[in-house]
Amino acid sequence: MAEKKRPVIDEENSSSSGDRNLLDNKRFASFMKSKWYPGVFQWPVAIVFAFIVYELLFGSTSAHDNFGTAATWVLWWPLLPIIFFLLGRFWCAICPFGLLNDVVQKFVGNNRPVPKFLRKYGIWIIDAMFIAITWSDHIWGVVESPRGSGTLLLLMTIAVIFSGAVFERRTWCRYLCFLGGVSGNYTRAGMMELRATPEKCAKCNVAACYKGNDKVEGCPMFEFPRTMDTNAECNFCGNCVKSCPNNSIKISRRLPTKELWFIRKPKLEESFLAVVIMGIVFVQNITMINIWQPILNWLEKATGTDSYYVTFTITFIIAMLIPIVMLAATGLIAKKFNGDSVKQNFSKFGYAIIPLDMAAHIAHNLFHLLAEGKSILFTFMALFGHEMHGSTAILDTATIQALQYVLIALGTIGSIYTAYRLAKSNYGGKNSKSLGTSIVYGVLILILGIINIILFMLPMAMRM
Amino acid sequence: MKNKLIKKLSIISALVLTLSTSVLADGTGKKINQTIDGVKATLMLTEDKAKTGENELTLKLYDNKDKPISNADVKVSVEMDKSDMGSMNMGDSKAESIQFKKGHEEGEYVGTVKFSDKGKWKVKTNFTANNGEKMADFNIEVISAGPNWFVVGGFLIVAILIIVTAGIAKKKNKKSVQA
Repeated sequence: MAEKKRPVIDEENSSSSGDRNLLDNKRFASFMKSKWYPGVFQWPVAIVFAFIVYELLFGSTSAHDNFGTAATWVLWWPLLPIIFFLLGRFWCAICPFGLLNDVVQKFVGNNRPVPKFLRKYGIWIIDAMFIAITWSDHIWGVVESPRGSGTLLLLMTIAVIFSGAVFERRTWCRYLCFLGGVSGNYTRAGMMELRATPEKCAKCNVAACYKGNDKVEGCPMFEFPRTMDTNAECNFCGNCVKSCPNNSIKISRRLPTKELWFIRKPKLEESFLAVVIMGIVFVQNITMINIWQPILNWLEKATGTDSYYVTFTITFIIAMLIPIVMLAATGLIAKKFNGDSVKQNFSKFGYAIIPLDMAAHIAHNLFHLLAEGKSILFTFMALFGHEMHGSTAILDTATIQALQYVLIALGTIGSIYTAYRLAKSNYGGKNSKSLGTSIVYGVLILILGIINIILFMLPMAMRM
Repeated sequence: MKNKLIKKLSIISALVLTLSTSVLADGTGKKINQTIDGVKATLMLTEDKAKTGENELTLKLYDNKDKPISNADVKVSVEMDKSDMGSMNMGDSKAESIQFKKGHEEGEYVGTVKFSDKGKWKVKTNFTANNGEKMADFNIEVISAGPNWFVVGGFLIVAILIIVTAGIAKKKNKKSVQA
């Protein structure tokens, strides 16, 4: 009798991790399932957030004296991409805006379905908001102004209250939060994943993970774990872990960037955001280095106006366009090898830039965290009338720069390898299509990495 | 009934009094005079002290015959007193030169400057009159601006409006479902 053929599961072509399920640890599982999670993190964070907003709105108008500015832009903002890398979108589970959304929804929520246009164009709206906020920060000095930062947070609070009062679940977090797109992209390159067990889900006809049950709400991020092939939208809130009657959910560690190797349905808007972030990192670096003033002077002469609106907007558009044009041009060259259109190549290989994006983002903010880190302590102590003076640096500039170079090198390697794996998963193993595409995108990423290294070599201005 | 009326009237009176005092308050701010080569330059602030953030400044120029100088090219820059700069603040203490425009009166020039920090600042004016280019520096004290009540109040009103409207809509929906 012929032996029955066992189905071959090609683990090489699966984004899912084969690593140990952390929920096998009884303590961890019972913590995730307890009624205290994630509230035990949410409420303290919400209290700290409320105090920060109070400080930004009512405290000192000088950024370097304001604890709110230090806590927001020197501590929280630099830590955020690191959290996304290590713990996925866990921040979104404990984010005070998410909690506010839930509270408003509980008392006055109308739970209307998400409008179609939001579902269709949500990521484009997020992309546009991210670009607009970065632009307005430079024009109106949101980061340097405690009142500006406070106003931005109040505007977001209004939007969250509106979203919680009108729409179902966490519509704001999934479709509108300007950080949602960035966090989704970074999480794809991150080290944590949540997945369901297909064999267990096949027998399930309850779908409590999505719908919820009488004790726990369904997934706030509109995810259905059974069909999840990305962690971009999962915030590890634990609702599916609590509600699943079959213990199907697995939380495990994975190799960084692994999810990016097998993007089944690449989306132009997600790739676009990845490239735009590279442009934003360029803008952030250029405007903080010493050559910025000569560039501005030259632009003023060239345009015949000394309006910062005009000169910065030109710089901003150019910095955004550089990586976009570079990726599109690379797509044109890659077309000769893989036969895909420029748009298809742009959508597929924009994801390869994400590891370098994240590395550059962390490297840029590492400067603020390590060169201005003590300002958090200084401004905090000042709240109690204790004035502290001296350098705000935790590490010297040379050490910080060395760390930045290491990060950019790691990001570049991660991105090149991701481009290689993406080419392999799209065009098969050893063939000219795959190899040619890998080399073309490898060169692009190398150039982007070198540009970043050059920018980090130049002395940078501080935030506080 | 009477008590309620008295309460209402008291509130209205308090509001009227508060608003009227602010309307009738003396609008003239601080004036600092300087004389350079016979030219009298007066820097006027809108209030007694400048506040962090944007401030409108007026510069009045008179010649040695006390006639207003019209058609002067006035440029102003602000710089924080170095002794007042904190060890952490490395940027933004120096602003670019701002071109002042002619004001309503003759010899009057108006522009907006930004003080990024509280402390002692130097307002550096540079003007070209008929008899050449002149410079005058004015020392001023900048205090910290208070909260922006327009933003805070606006936020509270909008938030309350959304919550109340949503609450009413929710009740209506519940009733219609029950019916």
